[in-house]
Amino acid sequence: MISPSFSDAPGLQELARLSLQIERDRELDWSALHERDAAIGSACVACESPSQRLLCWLDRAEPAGTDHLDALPAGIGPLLSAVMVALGFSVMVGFLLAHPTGQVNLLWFLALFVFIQIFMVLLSSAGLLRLALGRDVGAQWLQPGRWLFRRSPWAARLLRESSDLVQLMVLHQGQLLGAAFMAGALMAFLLTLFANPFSFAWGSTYALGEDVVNSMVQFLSAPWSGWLSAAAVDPQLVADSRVHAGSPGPSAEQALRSGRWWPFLLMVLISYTLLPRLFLWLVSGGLLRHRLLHSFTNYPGADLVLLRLAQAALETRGEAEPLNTPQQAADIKVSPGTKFADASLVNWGDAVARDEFPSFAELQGLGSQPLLLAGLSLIGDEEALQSISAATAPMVLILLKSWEPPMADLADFIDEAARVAPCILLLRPLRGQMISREIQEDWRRFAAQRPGTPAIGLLTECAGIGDQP
Amino acid sequence: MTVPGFAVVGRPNKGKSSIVATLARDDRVYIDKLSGTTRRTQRFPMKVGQETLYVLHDTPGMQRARAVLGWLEANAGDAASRPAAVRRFLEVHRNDPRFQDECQMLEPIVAGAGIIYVVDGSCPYGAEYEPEMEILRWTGNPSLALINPIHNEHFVEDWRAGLGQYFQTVRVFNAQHAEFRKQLELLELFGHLDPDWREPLDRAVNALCREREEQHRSCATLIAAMIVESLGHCEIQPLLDALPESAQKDALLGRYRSSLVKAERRSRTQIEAVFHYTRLQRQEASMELDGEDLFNVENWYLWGLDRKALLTVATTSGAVVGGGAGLAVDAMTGGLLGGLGTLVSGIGGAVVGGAGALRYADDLADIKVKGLPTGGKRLTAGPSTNLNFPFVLLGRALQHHKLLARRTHAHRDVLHLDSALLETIDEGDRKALGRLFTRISRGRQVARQQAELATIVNRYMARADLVIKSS
Repeated sequence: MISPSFSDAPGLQELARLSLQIERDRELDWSALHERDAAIGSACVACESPSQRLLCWLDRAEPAGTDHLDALPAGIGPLLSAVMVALGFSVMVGFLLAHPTGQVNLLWFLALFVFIQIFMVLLSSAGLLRLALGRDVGAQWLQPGRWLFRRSPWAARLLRESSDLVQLMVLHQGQLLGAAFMAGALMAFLLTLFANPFSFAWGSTYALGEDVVNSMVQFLSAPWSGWLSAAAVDPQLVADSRVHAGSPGPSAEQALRSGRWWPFLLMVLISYTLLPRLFLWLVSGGLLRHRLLHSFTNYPGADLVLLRLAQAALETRGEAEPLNTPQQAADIKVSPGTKFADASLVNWGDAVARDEFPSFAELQGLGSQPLLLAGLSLIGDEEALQSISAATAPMVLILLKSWEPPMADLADFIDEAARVAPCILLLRPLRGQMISREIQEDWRRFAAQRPGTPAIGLLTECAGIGDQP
Repeated sequence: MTVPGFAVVGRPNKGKSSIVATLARDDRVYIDKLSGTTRRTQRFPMKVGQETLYVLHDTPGMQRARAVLGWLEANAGDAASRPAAVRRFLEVHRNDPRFQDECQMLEPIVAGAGIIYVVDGSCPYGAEYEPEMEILRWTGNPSLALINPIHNEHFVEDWRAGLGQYFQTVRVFNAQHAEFRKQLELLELFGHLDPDWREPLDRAVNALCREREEQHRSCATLIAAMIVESLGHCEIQPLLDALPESAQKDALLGRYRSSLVKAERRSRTQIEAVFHYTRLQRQEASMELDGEDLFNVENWYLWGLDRKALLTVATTSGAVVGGGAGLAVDAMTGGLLGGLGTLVSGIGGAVVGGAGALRYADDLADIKVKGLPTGGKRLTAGPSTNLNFPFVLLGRALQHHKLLARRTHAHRDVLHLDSALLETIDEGDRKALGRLFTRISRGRQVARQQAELATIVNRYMARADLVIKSS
């Protein structure tokens, strides 16, 4: 496994490009692949980390004119963030200005802008934890960003191959959008406060006692109450902000006091919604970066690319397409019943010793004829040719080892002997074995090229001989 | 320093080209049962990058050894002048068609190449070999003799005794069946012929070892990719009102199966290319591996997991869906149905669409009929959720790889997938594979699962070579 380096970070798009290029390379010839990558390797020698080398390789290995994978439109991120800022701003303004009496329901405010956001942050944290542990996030359909992401073809490829990365990417971007929403809401909160001061109140609609609200407020302000008392809420303010159903509106003094909620609410918004979102955004960004690097350098086949980049191509095959010279063989066989009684007998290469004659059906009865030894020395060949010439037999019978190939020096001998009489080649099998069709074919081909060789035949072992080991 | 060269010499048809094809890993080398098909010396350089570490020369067989020896004897004064006489022979007869083969053979030797003399150990030793061995001795070059037992080893000992008279080193090397380790040993032996050749030959051996490891890793990656592709594959087509639904389903299923076969065949070709086999496909035109054989019911459990192993894996991977019924049927009948239960029900589950007959025709994947928002219906075949299917693919792929890894480039017979290989995979890995396949089928972090799959597969591939020398 390759350890990632943080000095360089490929994106999801590069991961998809890597995936495509490795798939393309499967169709390439092994040697061509090695030659190409060895050349690229020398060009990318300055790249230190594996991911840098892979990126360098990717830029050079992709075929010229490759239509680069279409990413999401370049400005989509900032645009979405701007939309979320505007949305947060609008929702907050709408919420605050929706109270004609200038009295804003504190509990609704907390529910909408704090508790729901905290819930979302907790959900995101749980998702991030699952992803950090290497598991997929369930309920993917709940992530709206994924739908947008899915529209990109390269991203769709990644959805199958690296769903965890895509989820992490969506989660990471989701935190930014959540933070943008809260930033817009905060801006609206501050601007509305200055433009149109209003008071906060809470009622008894939900049967909440002062103690409960007070405890909740104290709990929420606990992180800063010690060092930022201006943003802490005292029990009196909680009591003063309570309104009862059917009671007349707040007095001017009460309204003034309840207006003091805003430092607390500002801190709550920042501490429980904006900062956690930003924190999650940073953490998910770091994790995404780490995972991307890991996935990039450990993508199936990436290790082989790195190997090819690092080592020279190896070639062992021939320099040119090897040649062959197969030739057609003529069908020339000794006619059955051919008599060899008057033939000159040549024992080529000591193929058959005289005492072996009785072992072969074709040689029986030839035991008394002179046996000329040839094929071992040039002098022996010369003497045999002289004997053939002197004998003037009607044919020359040449006994051969079928397992040895027909050679040119035999051809020379036959060409000389054939001036006296036609030559018949008799092939001796290896003891206990048949002469294969290929060997017969080889000898027939040889005989067909010799005008003085009208036929070849096979020696047949007599019964019992072939059974010997 | 000059590049070490090795001339592979000997009589025609005694396996010279086979040895060259094996060592050069070149299945383009023409190997014929007919003799004398090599008429010109061919060079096979072993290059690492731009550097040539050694060169093999495939030479024609000597045709007129006695005549050559006669000329040499007539033109050499004493033993010291013999190498010069050989050189002179070459100069004099270079353009003589009568000694064309001899000159082709002597050319690299006179240039300094080591001699690798090849004989066939399945044929008897004969005195007619002695003139050519004598000529080779006259050259004075480093030499060794290889006994290549083409059909059997009946005469190996005779040859050992005969060759020992002329060559200091005699080895038996079966070019058709020499495993990778033997090939490396032979190359190391070449390096020992001359002290100057040792270093480049050692480097060559190390480079080959490195490449071998890379080959296994590449194959593992390719096989993992093929399995992932096959598991995720599906075929989709609109359901036409004008045609019977069952016919459309059959056609779609046929297309689906055909795509899987193509994916497997493509992967085979890629793996063969990794092992430098460029012509295997052509030679395998009639091999069993092809076509619908992938869906051969009889071999399903041979290539994949048997029923018992499948049940074990299924219970640990959480993948038993639908076809579990078939497994249960198999288990209850003690396998008497030959796995028919699993095959007909399919682990993929019930066939959706109402055509009950398809339940028995489709054992691999679901056929689904889905309504479209724009109106009309759509048929979908796949992806497969049959748990044994990826094991079948893996079993076949591993066997194909094993056959290739143990094959030499001189071997020209067809490949046969006829043994159960997954039996060698231990139970822990089977379970891990089952879990991986399940996750891949569900489309979860596929790249990660693919990488893990390749790692496991690679472990078993390296076993195809019993030894990988450390680089």
